Amino acid sequence: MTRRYSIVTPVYDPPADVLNETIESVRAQTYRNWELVLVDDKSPSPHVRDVLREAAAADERITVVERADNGGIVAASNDGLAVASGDFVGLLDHDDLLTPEALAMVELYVDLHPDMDYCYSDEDLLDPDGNAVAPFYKPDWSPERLRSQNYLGHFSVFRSELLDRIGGFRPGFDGSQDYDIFLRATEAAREVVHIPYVLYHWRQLPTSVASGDTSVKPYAYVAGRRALQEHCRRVGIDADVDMAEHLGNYHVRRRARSDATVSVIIPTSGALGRVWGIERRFVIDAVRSIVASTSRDIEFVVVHDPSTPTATLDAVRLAAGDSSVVMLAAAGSDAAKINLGVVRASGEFVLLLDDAVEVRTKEFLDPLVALADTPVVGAVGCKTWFADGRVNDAGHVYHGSPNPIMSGRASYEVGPGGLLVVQREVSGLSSASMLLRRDVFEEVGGMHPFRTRSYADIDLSLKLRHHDLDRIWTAQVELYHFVDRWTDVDSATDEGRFLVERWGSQLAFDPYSNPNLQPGRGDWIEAGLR
Amino acid sequence: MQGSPDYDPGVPNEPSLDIDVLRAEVARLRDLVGPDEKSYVQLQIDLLAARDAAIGAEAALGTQRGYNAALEAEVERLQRDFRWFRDNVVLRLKRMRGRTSFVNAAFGRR
Repeated sequence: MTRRYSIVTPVYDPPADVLNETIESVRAQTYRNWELVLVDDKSPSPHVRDVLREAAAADERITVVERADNGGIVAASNDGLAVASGDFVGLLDHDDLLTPEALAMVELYVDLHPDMDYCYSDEDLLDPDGNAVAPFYKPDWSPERLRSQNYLGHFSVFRSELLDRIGGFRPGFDGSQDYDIFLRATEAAREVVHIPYVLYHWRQLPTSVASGDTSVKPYAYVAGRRALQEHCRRVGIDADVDMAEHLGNYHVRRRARSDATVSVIIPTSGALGRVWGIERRFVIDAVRSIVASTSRDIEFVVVHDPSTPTATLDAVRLAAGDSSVVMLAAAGSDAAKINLGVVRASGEFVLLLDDAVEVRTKEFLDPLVALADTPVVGAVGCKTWFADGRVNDAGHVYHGSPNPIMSGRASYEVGPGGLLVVQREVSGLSSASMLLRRDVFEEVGGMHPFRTRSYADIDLSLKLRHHDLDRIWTAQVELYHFVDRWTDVDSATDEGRFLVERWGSQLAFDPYSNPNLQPGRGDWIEAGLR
Repeated sequence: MQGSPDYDPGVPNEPSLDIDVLRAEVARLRDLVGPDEKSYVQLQIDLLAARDAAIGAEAALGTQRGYNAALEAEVERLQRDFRWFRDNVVLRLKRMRGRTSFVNAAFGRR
């Protein structure tokens, strides 16, 4: 007995050809056991009813519900859910197109994931000429990203029992009713599965959000913000939700505990450098910059080379102001120095900081502390910039080989799918600025003392992953990082070989990347032809 | 200033406790010998302005570099697509040349 899939499509006044194409895309499914429930929300154009009735007459698997009044998308969708009889229910917009293998692929993934209660797929856009453009290759389940944007999209499939349990669409969320139901469904689902294939095309009509015109449905974003605020309350996140600069994205601003204590661990050799035409002793300016960007009482643990001049250490103490400073002289790699620093740190949280940094944002520590103060979170990192304003690091991707995400891109770029502006899970983070709970750092055994710092960062990140602890990257906090410490993993060296042998397949596939993206790169280029 | 009622060269000056007078004297002397605190503050302001200008200039350069990086990625993608098209379409068609009239027509042969 094969599973039955119900596709629910609320319909309101689409052009006849568009609606016909949508219906035909369902009829063309290679998987046969489906039903299509079309709910006409009293469309004013008479052609809609004609198209729907003709479709129902042509295929007994098509059911048409004609509403007596125009109730909006929530009411129409709920009418569709009431009629749907499948084991699983898929949602499809009246202008979207399913690919022929969409349901077959979902069926395959249900077989592979028996506990799957909800799944979503990759998508692309259809331009007005019918060309598939702008594919959106999504990450695997990424709850923090969902709290920043509705990345799940239109064609989602729910187990019917899950929908019964959460109660369908909620009135009052028109325009973002899908975001609201995704948030509630994923809270309750046993397993959320990503299908890394483009299973539907999202049509760019002038009146659709896909057109990129954010003034089309402003009410949708307001409703989305409310849905997200309610989600935060339900899951116990103490936060305010703001709309981000790029509409459709949101900032969840968690509140940090006022009694949280932070130790800032800075390994340094007391190096001197020239930035923006001015000579600086990096560690002094780093400390000064952290002090200026927080009102918290913090402790600095500066682990310096024994040869660091006394005058530099005195200047660091002066720059730290009222903050307590622990100075430790130690030789060795940055990672070894960090380990030593954490041992001497007294804070509940440790911020691993490169000495060649300068904070860009007003409040630096609180957003990081608030994010890290969650049991499932292992480490938090932030957006870093080169001195010339290009993106230095937006987290690490371990897809084929480790790489910094979108490094070298211009400051104005938002990245594919808003990658550079949304808060999200990543596989790895840079210790140029990484905040962890001290007990987490100790639990995973600290950093392996690689001489190459980026290797130590990769290793620490993968240890956190191994302990099922999330690594969260946020664009809400930014700093300049004046030194490019990224070094490609070279398995011809002892250290590189050790790293590769230790983590092997963990470096090959990144759940927050996508199999459709080219391995070995951090710039989200498609692997195949577009 | 000889002849001034306030000036008596016959009487040694007592150290003045008037801080304003001392400050004025320090200011006078510093004006004579070079930069003073005010000059230092002005230099700092100039330095910060220069720093801001440098940040702005570097940022403009960074924007260009970032734009170039995006273009380079796009070029790589197009080259890869081209290679795919060449290997999977053009070369295959060439191998089939002479076998079918359709392919001959595509290559301008009868």
